[in-house]
Amino acid sequence: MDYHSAFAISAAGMNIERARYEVAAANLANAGTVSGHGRTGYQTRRLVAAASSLGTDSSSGGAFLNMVHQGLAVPGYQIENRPGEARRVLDRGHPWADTQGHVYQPDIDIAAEMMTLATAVRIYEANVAALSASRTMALRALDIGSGS
Amino acid sequence: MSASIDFLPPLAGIRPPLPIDATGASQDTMRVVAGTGFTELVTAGLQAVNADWMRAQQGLGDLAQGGIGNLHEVMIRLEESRTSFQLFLQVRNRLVESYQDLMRMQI
Repeated sequence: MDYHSAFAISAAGMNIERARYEVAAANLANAGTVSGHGRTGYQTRRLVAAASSLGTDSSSGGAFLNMVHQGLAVPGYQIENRPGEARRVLDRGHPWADTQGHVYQPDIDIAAEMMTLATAVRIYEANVAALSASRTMALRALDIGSGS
Repeated sequence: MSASIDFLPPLAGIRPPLPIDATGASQDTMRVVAGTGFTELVTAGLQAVNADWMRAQQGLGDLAQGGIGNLHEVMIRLEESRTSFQLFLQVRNRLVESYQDLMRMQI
């Protein structure tokens, strides 16, 4: 049993969820920042996960295993700026306020970021469970013949 | 009857030609040394187990020194090293068992 490639799949899943957590954490950490201009402040990030190259085609068992062994079953991700205007807040006393007395805050939905965090933790757990199952199967395979 | 043992076709084709690991870990454990004697095979297997172990240790050291490392990758390397060691141990147990069987044989 090739546990290396099975571990690699789960590791890729964990990598994505870790990156998702980091993006959400960065968004939350910058949620309260202000800037004096609508475009110079923090830009909200989001993580876009791309499906693995297994794609949508159905394949025979052997072809699927081959793709798994070649590392094609792992998904990828990229982090991009989420389009959205900065929120304009009236704060006349602020040292960075513009001529009309406005400062700008990044457009971050804190509740949505918390949901992202919770989901990331759950999917991470699921990947750990999958990896543990793979490890258990490998160790069980090593038990073959030891009972005699 | 030929002297060499030919694997049955399903067993011979059990390994994919090009295993690529997404985590960057090498595939030493899965490497098949073809056309060599049994001693070389055992030595290669031992070296693969040792390489897995060294990699796990390297990851632990990096983590302890605060280097850039994912916790789960270190744990996965530890698991890989444990599994390959278990595999080695089972092979060794079988060998010792058959050796002892031979030694107990009445002549």
